[in-house]
Amino acid sequence: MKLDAKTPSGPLTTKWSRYKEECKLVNPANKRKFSVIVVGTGLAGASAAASLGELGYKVTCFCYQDTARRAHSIAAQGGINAAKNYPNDGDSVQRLFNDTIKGGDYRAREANVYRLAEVSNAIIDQSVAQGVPFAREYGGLLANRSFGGAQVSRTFYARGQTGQQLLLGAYQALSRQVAKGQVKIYSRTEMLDLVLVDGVAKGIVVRDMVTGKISSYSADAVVLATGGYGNTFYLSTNARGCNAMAIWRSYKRGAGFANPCYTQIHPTCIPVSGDHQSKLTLMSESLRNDGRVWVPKTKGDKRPPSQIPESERDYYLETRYPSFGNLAPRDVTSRAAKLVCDEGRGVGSSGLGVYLDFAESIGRLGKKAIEERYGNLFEMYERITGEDAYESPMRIFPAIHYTMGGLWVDYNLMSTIPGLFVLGEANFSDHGANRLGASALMQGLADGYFVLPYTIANYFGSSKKFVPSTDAPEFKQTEQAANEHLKRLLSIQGSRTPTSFHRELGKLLWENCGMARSDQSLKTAIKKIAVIREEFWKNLKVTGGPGELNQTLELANRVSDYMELAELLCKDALERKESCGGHFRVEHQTEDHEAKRDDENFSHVAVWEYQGAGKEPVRNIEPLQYEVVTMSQRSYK
Amino acid sequence: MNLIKAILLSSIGRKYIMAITGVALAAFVFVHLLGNLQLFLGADALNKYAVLLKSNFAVLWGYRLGLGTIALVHIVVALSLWVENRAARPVKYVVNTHPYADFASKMMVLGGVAIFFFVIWHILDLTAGAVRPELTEAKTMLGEKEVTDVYHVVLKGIGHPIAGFFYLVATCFLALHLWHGLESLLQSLGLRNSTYQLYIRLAARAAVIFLFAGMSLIPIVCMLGILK
Amino acid sequence: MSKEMNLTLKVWKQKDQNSPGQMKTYQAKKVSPDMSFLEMLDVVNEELIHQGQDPIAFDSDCREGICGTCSMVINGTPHGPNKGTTACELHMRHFKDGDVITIEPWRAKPFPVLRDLITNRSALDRIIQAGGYISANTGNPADANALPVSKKDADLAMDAAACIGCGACVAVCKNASAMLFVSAKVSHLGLLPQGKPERDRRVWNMVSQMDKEGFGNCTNTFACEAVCPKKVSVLFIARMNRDYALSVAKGQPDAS
Repeated sequence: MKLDAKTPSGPLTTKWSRYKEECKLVNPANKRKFSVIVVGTGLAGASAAASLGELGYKVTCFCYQDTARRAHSIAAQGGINAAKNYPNDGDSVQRLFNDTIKGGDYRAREANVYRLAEVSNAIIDQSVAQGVPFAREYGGLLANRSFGGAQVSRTFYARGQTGQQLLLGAYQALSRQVAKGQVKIYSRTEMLDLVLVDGVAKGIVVRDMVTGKISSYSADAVVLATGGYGNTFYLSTNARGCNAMAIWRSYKRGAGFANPCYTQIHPTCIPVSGDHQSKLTLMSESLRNDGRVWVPKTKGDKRPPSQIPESERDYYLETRYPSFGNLAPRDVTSRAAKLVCDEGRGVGSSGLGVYLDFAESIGRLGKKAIEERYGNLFEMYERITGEDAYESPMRIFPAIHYTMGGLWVDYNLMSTIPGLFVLGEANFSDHGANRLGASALMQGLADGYFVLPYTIANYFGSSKKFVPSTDAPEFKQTEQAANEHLKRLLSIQGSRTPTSFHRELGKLLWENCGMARSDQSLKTAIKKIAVIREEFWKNLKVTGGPGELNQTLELANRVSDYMELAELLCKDALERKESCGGHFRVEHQTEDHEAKRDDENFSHVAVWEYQGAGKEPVRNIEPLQYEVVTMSQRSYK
Repeated sequence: MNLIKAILLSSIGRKYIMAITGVALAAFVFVHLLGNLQLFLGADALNKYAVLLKSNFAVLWGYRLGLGTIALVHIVVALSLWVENRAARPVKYVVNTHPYADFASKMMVLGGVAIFFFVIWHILDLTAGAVRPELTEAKTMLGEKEVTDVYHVVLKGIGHPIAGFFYLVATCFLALHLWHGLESLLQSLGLRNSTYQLYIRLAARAAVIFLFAGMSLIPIVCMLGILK
Repeated sequence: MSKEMNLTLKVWKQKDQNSPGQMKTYQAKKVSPDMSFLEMLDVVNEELIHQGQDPIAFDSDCREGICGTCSMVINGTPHGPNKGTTACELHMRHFKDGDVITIEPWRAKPFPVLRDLITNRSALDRIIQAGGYISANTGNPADANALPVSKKDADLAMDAAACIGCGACVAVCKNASAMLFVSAKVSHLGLLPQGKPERDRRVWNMVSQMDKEGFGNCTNTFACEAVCPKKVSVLFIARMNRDYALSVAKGQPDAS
C-alpha cells in the first residue's frame, strides 16, 4: 500500500493557500457533468453535499435516518472552536493548531491540523450567515466560553445544543440544494458496499430500508461521511443507528484503515443501570469543577452514600493526583474510575459507577449557586435516573464517546482508493490520538464546507471523466455479494439475537480494549472475538425476510461488521506498544500513571490493509514528521 | 390570482377570514345584546329603539344582507376547514382523549351548527313572525304612531318556558363558541405575543362572561315574569 | 429501588404502508423501573425474536432526546405522559405494575405508516425545502460579528430553533396541523437579520407547501405546545400568522 500524504510543499502556514492557488479547477459548465455520491448527512456530509451542490455538481446523498436532519452530529452539546480571538485573550490560528496537536498527543499530521485551524474562522462566519443562533452578548456580538485543553475562550455555542444548530444550518443549506434539484437525498437508505471499477471508486450499493430493495448508484466520486465506529463497543454515547458499515466495507475493498485503536472515553457519563441498557448519555464534564469523586473504601460496601461516614470514603482522584484532584484530565480520570471499580468498590446496582458528590459545594456555595451553574444537567440526570443529585451524589462512569481512528486519507481527504473521499469522524486525520472538546464539529464542517470543494475539483481536474452504468458487471457482482451476505444472516436461524451478540462483543471489547489495555488483555480479546464471531455465524437468529422493513436484519448486518472490526481494533492496540492519548497500554506508563509515548518507534500512523477473508491484514506506516512543533511529554500538571 | 389563493385557499388565509368574520359577528352579538338590554328601561325605550332600527329601509336591509353574507362566509369557510381537518387524520387513534384541547374548542363545530339553527328559528319566530304570528301582530302606541310592540314580543316570545329554555341553551353554545373563538381569533390574526397574551386572554374571557350574563338574564327575567 | 413490573402493551401492528393494521397485545414481563420506555420495548422485542415472532418496529436513534427520531403515541399522548420529554427519555418508573399501555404511531395523512410504529415524515423535509433556509452559499460571507443581533432576538430565535422536527405537534393536534413545526422555522430565521431578506417569500412558500402536504388547520388549542418535547411556544404560530399577513399584504412575494 502506497501512503502518499500529498502534503503541499513550503512552509506550514502557507501550504493551504498555496494549494488553493495551484489546485486544478473545474469550469462551471463542466461541473454539471460531474456527479458525486455523499454517504451520511451529519455535519461533514451535509455541509459537503450542500457546498458541492451550490458549486453545480450533481450530488446524490444517502442517509440511514428518516431525514438528513437527524444525523448524530445533532447530539453534540458543548460548542465549536475557532481562532477568532474575539475575547482578545491571545488566541490565534497558530495557538489553536498547537493546542490541537498537543491534545492529540502528537499523533496527527501537522499540515492537516494547521489547515483545520486556518479555516475554523470561516466556519463561524458561514454558520452565522446561515442563521445559526449562536449565543450573544447584550451588545449583539457573539459570546465565547472556555473548554478543556485550552487556555483561551474560543468556543462558540448555542446553549447546550451547538451540534443541533450547526447541523440544522447545514441541513437547511442542503434542503435548499434539494429544492434547486442539485442534490437528491435518499433517506432510510443504507450503504452496503463500495463499487470499484478499475481500482477507482465509482459507486455504491445500497439497501432501501423500507422495501429491502438492493440497488446501485454510480458517480464520478464517492464521499463517505458516515461517522465513527464507537458502537463496536455496544454501549457508547453514539446513536443507536450509528454504524461502521460504509467505512468497514470500503476497508474490505482496499481502503486503508488508520489507527483503529484510538478511541476516546469520556469520564462523565450516566452509568449503566442494567442489562437492558441500550446506550449511554454524556453529562458535561464541567460538573467536575464543583463535584468531588469518591467510592467507599471497603469492597462491596452497599450502604447508601449518606450512611457512609467521611472516614470510610476514598476521594481517590484527590489522593492520587493531589495537584489536579477532581479536574484531572479525561483519560486519567476514566482509568482511575475503572481501577476502583475493578477492585469491587464501584457503586450502584451494577457496581460500575463512582460518586460525583456536590454536598461539599452545596454547603459552601448554597444550593442556588449550584442550581444556576448546572440546573439543566441535574434535571437531565433526574429524568434518566430518577435521583435527585442535590440530595444524594450523582453516579458517573466513563463511556466510549468518539473514535479518532478511521479510514486513512491524504491531504486531499482521499483514501487509498482513488475517488473515495472520507470526511469527519469517519476519517482519521486531524485529532491524532485524542480529540479536544469542541473540535469534532469544527473538523466535520471544515472538511465539508471548505476542504472537499477544493480537493474534489483538483481530483476531477486531474482524472479522466467516466461514470459507469450500474448495469456494469462490477455493480452486479457487488449487489449479488451484498444480497448473499443478507441471505446468509437470515439463513442461520439459530437461537441468539443480534443484540445479544453485540452486547457480548461490546463487553469483551470494553473490558480488554477499553480504558486500559495490556498485551495479555488484547491477546485474550482477539482469541475470544474469534470465538464469538464463529458462534455468530452459527447461532444467529434473525426474524422476517430481506424484502421488508426489518430492523433485526439491519442490526445483524451491522454487527457482522463489528465482529471483524473489533479484531482489527485489538490488533492495532496490540501492535502499538506505547501509550498515547486515548490508547493506554498498562505496560507503558510513567511512574505517576501518565501515558508514556514512544516517539522513536511509534511516531507514525498505522494503516491497515485488508488482505482477504481469514488472512492477516498488513500494517503499513505513514511516518509523522513534525516540522514546526516540538514533541514533549503531555503533562497537565 | 396568487392573492386570492393566499387568502381563500391557504389554511392561514382562511383562518384570517374566520377571525375577521368572527369579529364582525361577535360585534353584532354585542350590539344586539346592548340593544336588547333596553328591555330594562321599559317598553317605550325598547320600542323606540326598534323603530329607529327599522326607520331606513336601505340601511336595514343593507345591514341584514351584510350580516347574512358575513355569517354565510363564516359558515362556508368553517365547513371547508372542517372537511380538510377530518381528512388530515384518516385513521383515528384508539386511545384519544385529546387531553390538551379544552371543551370549548371541541365544541366549535357542533356549537356552530347549533347556533346556526337557533338563529334561523329565532329570526323566523321573532322577526318574521312565521312561527308564532300572534306575537308580532301585537301593536302599541308610541307617541302618535302605532308600532309593533317589540317589548311585548320579547317578553311573551322569550318568556314562554320552552322558548326560554332554548334561548338559554343557545346562549350556552354561543358563550362556548366565543370562549374559544375570541382568544383564538387574536392568535389567528397574529395579534398575540408574550407581553399581551395574558391581557388578551383576560379581556376575551371577561367579554364572554359579560355576554353570557347579559344574554341569559333576558330569558330568565322574561320567564320569571319579573317585567310586565 | 422499586420492584420489577409486569405490563400489558397494546401496540399497533402493520406490515407495510399498503397493508391494513390492527392492535396487538403483548406482555412485558420483569420490567425494571430504571429502563427507558424504548429499552422496555427492546426487551420485549428480544423475547419476540427468541420466539420467532415479528418484533415491534419503532423508530429511535440518539436516545437522548435531541434527534427527533422516536415517535410514538403512548396512552393517547405523543411521547408519553412526561412534559418536555421525548419517548426515549421517558423512564418506566413513571408506570406501575399491571398497567395497560397503548402504543400507536403518529396519525396524520401526511405521515403514512411504514411499519408498526414507524411513519414517513418526509413531508416535514419538503416544507423545509420550500423555504426553511437562508440562501447563503458557502464562501466568504461577512465576518460573524459584522452584523450585531440583539440578545433578545438571538435568544428567541434559539427558542424556535430548538425544534427537533419529531412531529409530535402534528400527532397530538386534533386537526393534524403542522403549524407549530412550520412556525418554529419561520420564526427562527425571520427573527435574525440574516433571514430578513427572504422573510416574505419564506413564509409564503413554506405555508403553501404545508397545505399541499395535507396537514390540517390550526385548532388554536395549543395542544402542540403542551406535548412539544422542546416546549416550543405557540406564540411562534401567532408570529407566523402575522408574517403571512404582511407577506400577503405586500403582494406576490415570489414570481414562481
